[in-house]
Amino acid sequence: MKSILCFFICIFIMSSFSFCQDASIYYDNLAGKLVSAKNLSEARDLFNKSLDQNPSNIDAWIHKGNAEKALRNLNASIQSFNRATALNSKNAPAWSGLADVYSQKRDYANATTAATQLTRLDPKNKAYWLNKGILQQMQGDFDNATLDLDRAIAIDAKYKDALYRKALSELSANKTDQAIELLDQVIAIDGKYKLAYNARGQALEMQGDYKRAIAAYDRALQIDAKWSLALTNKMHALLATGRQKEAADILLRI
Amino acid sequence: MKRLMVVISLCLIILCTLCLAEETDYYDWKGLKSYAAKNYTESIVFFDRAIKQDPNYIDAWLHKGDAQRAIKDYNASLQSYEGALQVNNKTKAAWTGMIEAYIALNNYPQAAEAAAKVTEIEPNRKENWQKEGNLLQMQGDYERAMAKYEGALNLDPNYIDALYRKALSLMAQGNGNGAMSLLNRILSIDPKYKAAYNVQGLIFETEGKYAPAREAYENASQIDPQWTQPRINDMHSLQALGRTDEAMRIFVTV
Repeated sequence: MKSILCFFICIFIMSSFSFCQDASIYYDNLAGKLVSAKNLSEARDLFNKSLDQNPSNIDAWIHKGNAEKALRNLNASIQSFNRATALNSKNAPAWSGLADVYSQKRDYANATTAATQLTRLDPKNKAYWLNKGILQQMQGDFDNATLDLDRAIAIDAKYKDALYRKALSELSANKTDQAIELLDQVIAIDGKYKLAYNARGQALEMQGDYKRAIAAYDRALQIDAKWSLALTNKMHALLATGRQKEAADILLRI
Repeated sequence: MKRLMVVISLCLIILCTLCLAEETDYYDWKGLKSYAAKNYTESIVFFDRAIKQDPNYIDAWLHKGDAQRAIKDYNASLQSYEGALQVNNKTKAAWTGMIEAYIALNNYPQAAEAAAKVTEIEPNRKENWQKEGNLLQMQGDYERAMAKYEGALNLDPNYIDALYRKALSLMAQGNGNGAMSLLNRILSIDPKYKAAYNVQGLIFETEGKYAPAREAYENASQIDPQWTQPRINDMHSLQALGRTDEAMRIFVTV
């Protein structure tokens, strides 16, 4: 008689547990649909419901983190991603979310810590190395950035974003020839990579070759005529060559 | 009896004329209501009815032009403003509408001509001179623009916007000292005029005075830390000083 009672209690507990898990997944999916419909506030409420049912639902924490990020509640987003990493320290989307949110907060040190975790989780992922490299550059650490970017380039020798970023590191050390070489590689891979033309202009300007720098900025502006960075850079090159009128023409438009 | 009939007929004619006039006014009013509700296409239908009833009803032409401009039908809006001008060539609102339409079409020469008409109609308004000057600058005609800013400054010697634009004209013509003196005057009137600091920086840079240029950019950035232009400009000064590492720290964050 006692064992039958125990059996029913076990069944009841298991059913309740299973129900909670199902309900949590259900709310999480429902909230996902609201996110797709860009109804973020309501989606967040549903993610909370999902997590009330099952606080161990990692997916719901991550989805909530993404929703909070989209709502610009960056601290809440970080909390959600942190809960996910506490539940599973090998969860890449959670670390990725953290790197992104910290980056948005311009807290590049913490963003780099999260990005480092990603490179440890999946060292063959070139995008992780690139992201870490960029975050190092944002902190002004161009040397360590180069090490990370080299890892990305070792995985994919034609990884244009990493080549471009490495060129920026070279420029920081005034190695303009090396930078130009890398930027030419980027342009050979993708002739529409406006950032590379712009950085090439910078490199040429640093070499004092304003004429070719202007030509490089013009190439960037052929791709994106309203790009204010390239316009401003061109304005400086024009000023340096005494072409004040043309420089003023640009100044009026940026 | 005959006399009474004539009087009644006259009254009827007057009444009908009044009603017709009221109806024109009514259609224009209806059009304005639709315009206020951002239902521009519908508003144009009402303005057309008003114009059909009374082709000399200037307001309907103007409102139709504005509505066409709101739906980006700039060429049609120009025709409507022309309709108003055929009734009265000194309708300021029609010339003003034309300025905006021509600017939207990037037709600065015609916009400047329309602006000249506005100045001619209302020469005691400094903003009219300023607008005309700005449109001449957009065409690269810095010398003629100067005369217009003079016109504005005759009305108000402390008119900062005119002083600033006049400084740009001087800079474009290679008169850095003249420009600098005007910029100093602006800053004595309004020490928070960030654009003046920025241009001061550019002039210093042209003269190879990078340290004061950096100071000027720093002043502009302190007034508006979100404004990227002085930061990019500062990057160029740093580059010129050979401080490439610091320059690239700015480059990666703008």
